[in-house]
Amino acid sequence: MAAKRVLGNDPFKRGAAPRVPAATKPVLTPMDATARRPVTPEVVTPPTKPLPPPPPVRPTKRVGGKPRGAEPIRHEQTPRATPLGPMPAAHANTPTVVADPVPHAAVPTGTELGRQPAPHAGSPRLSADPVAHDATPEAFTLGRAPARHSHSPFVVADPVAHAAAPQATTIQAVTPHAGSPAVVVDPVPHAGAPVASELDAVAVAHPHSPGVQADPVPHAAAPESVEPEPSPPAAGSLSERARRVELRPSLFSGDGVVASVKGVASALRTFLGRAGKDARVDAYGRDEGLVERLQPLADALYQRYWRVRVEGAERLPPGACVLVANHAGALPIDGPLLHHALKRERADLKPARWLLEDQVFYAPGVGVLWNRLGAVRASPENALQLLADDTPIIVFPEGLQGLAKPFGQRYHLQRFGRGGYVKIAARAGVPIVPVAIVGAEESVPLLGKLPGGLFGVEFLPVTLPPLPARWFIRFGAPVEVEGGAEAAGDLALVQRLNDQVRDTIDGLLKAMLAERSGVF
Amino acid sequence: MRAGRTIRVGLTGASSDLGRLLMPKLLDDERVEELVVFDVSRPDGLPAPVHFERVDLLRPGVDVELSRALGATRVDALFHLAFVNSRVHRAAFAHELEVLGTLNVLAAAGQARVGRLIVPSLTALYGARRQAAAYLPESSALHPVPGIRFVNDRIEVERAVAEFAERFSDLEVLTLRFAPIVGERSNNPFTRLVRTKVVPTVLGFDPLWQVVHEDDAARALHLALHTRAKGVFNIVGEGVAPVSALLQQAGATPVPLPGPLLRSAIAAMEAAGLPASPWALMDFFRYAWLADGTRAARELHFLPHLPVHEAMATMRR
Repeated sequence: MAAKRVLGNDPFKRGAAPRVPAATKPVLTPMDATARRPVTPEVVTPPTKPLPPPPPVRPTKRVGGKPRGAEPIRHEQTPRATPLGPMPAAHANTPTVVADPVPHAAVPTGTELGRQPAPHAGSPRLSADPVAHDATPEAFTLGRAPARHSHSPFVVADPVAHAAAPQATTIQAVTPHAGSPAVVVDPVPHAGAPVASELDAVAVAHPHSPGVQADPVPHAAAPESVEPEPSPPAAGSLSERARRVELRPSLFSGDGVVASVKGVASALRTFLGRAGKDARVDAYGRDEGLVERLQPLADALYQRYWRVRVEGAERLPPGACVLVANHAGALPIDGPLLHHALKRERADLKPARWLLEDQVFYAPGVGVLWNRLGAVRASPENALQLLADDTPIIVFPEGLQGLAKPFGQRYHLQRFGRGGYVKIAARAGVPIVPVAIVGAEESVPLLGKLPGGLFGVEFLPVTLPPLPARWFIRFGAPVEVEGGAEAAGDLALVQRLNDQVRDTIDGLLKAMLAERSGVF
Repeated sequence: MRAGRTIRVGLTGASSDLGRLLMPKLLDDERVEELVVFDVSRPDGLPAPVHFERVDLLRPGVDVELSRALGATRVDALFHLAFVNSRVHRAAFAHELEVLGTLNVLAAAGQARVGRLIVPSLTALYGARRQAAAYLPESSALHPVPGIRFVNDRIEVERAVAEFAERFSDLEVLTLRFAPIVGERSNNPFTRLVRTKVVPTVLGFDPLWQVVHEDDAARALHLALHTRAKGVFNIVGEGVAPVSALLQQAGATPVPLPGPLLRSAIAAMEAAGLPASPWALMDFFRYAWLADGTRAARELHFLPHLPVHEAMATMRR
């Protein structure tokens, strides 16, 4: 995690994190929370957990992606094993909180999940708690069951979370911790674990926590203080998270590895122009067979390596739309990743196609591979044709400039061209959906550029092999282009919308960076 | 056109690939009252019912001769298929036949007021260009490829035909731009390339191509005889495929070579006086050049029967 120290020091994190007010999230009222608690009391069996052997807690670096993956949410709790002892005490103080068993009880009933998904949206993914960060190294290990239990008291704090847990039914099967993600909701507990005094604070916090959960503010994080008062976990994504946590057993099996290797081999052949005579592509060059063969690898990268979290996918309108995203990183991997995210989150839509600037589309090898995976050369004709087919399109208006900016300027939006995408949306009569992507810059930081004339590219990026930074994707509210096709000719309107969309993405980015608890 | 009436059809270039494929269809067509072939010599195996007129398209003053023949045979529709697809050792001859021959045919058709003129062309005339849209409509500009007579002469032909259509707007002029025609009986630059078995391509590029099977191509020509539509149509097969897949489907082996290496190899061969494909041709192996066939489907009711991979598979034998 040395890397974390280097890259995780994000300027955006300094100072107050601008919070994005969650748009109307129905929240769990404290009442609800309390109401639910009663159910669980009997279950409470603190005894078992109190003495989690320290060693298990420490399991640093569990090689297995499992633990990590099992729990995408950063549970950075209790790095040091010691804390556990105190925990029981905490429970004593806050009987209500003790609900811990609840999670388990809730698990069986998947139904609950359905109800509560919305409220927790944002919070889980971004642990605002600074303390948590410190702990992060160990966080990876947390996924393990033993550790989890020991901490469970905290977990208990959030009944809602548990409710959500059921969604991740598959997880449970794999790991006992299914519920744990939900735990994340309450940052405080984790922070406290190490020190006894902190624990007290935690105890206090817990009482509040139920109410906190209700807090509409999407991002839980209260960076500065351990106290819960900050902003409680936000709504929205809990259920989403839980879903994301699903494990695909196949990823861990030998089959999964073999499938991934086969997929890579297939991609390599495509890269080299030897895809074989059985390659079938659609009208824009997407090779469904290749996409399928790469699916195991893509899922593994998505779930376990980059631990992508998506928020607001439900905002996408049915049918076509123009998704506008920031472009970042030395390698253009944000397009395929967003494409993959949409495929998972919104299977009801046609697979989105992302538009690539010429410099990438015609970069030898890369362009071909991307094209086979779904990229289309950026041109108004292609965009309109795709939209007419009801296909959502993803555009990166920054173009190459987005990819070419040095690491020091990460997440600084470049100029948004002349707003061509606004005209296209106007002419096609589809909404524009701003999308912010965080994680690309740290995954493939642009460390330098080499002249690339020999290879027919503007520059050869110097970067690292993709690093396991966490990725976040957040969809903004769709922007309708009023005025239809005529609006496309109104340059002032186009420019205004262009600026508006850019500002929206900028705001999303800043909020997400502020909420992000750590890069990796 | 004019349902219920029979028409008399003229044909130049009866011994070209398209001519040989089209003739049986015309002979089977009961709406075709008579088929007249204009050629410099009687093609081998010309069926008996076909009327033959000796015409040398390269002779000075042939336009008068041809227009008289057209008038005498009362041709309603003329297919001008006299284009050189086979390998020629005298590029000058091919150029004269295609460009000057077409000018003569156009002059004669204008004079004889032939009701309908049908000319084949190529989607390759759009060129393979970085900036092009994925699917090019018929209105797209045509781009010469430096050093490729096969393309550049046809652009001149198209220009002349377009001028003719504008001038004689009462006549029906149809231009069919074909994607590379493939099939067992076809012999054109693309099929020859495929038959060489080992095809150098550009490493890191694998553009999408279209092809059209020869039977589909002949059917499109035949459809052009009876349609009410006129103008330019892209005639493409069903589906697209990366060029590497295309070649392999036809039993050839693409050999991707690094662009810079290929470029210097071509330069070296040229310097040594060896026959080499100009580098400009390699654009067709770097950038997609796809034509939009929806107009033909809509107005010509042309729907290809063979998808691209099956069309290419017919080349295997």
